[in-house]
Amino acid sequence: MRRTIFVVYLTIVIGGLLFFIAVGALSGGG
Amino acid sequence: MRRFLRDNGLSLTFGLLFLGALIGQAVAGHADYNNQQIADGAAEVTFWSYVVSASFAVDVAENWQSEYLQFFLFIFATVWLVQRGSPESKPPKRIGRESDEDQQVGAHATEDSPRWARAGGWRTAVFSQSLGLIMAGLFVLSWLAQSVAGVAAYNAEQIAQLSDPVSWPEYLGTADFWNRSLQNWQSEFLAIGSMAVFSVYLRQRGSPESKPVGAAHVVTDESG
Repeated sequence: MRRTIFVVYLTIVIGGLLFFIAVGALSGGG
Repeated sequence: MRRFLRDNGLSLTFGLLFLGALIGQAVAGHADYNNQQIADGAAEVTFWSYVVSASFAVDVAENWQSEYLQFFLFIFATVWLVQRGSPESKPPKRIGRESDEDQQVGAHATEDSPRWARAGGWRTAVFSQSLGLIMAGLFVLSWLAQSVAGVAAYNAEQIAQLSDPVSWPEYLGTADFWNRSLQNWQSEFLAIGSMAVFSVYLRQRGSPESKPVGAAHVVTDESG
């Protein structure tokens, strides 16, 4: 169960960052 | 279930605080953005189009990168640098990467040790740095996200002001990019320095971030 929280945290952070990069790139950044 | 909540209180509480604050930031950021749009005589945007905007993305990412920079530097720096008397530090005699025996790796691993601590070779080498490396990796990724979303938000403003947009490499040299980065870094460095120094002389009864209330100021925690 503790491992589940570890995976959720990593997923939120990495998923969030990929989302922000995609948003930036699609809005004309990069 | 009760036991699960108790055993994971720290990660669950801060996870919920994070989500609450992020939603709050989105609501306040949306209102602030629209106030600016009205002042500029531009059209207001919906909440969801703000949430998927480069403006929101750069504001979130610039704070994330500084937090991961803080932890990455703190984790690596505390291998080599100490602060005598601070519970955040190990004692001066343990400066450096320490022996395999102290670190319970390779032949010194126990039956309960993680598999990669027992394996030896490249796996133990990687696992031995995995906490610092993930923080460093997340710092690089979030700084990249800040720059990519930042240039898009910056250019939207440039175009609204009838100025020339900039390319990504050009944006990395702009005052906007460095102002956003450094304003977050300075606060993280001050916070770490404050924690290292304050914890020498001040106490918080019951907190593992503090030495025991009655511990001498000069004592540096062995477990640090």
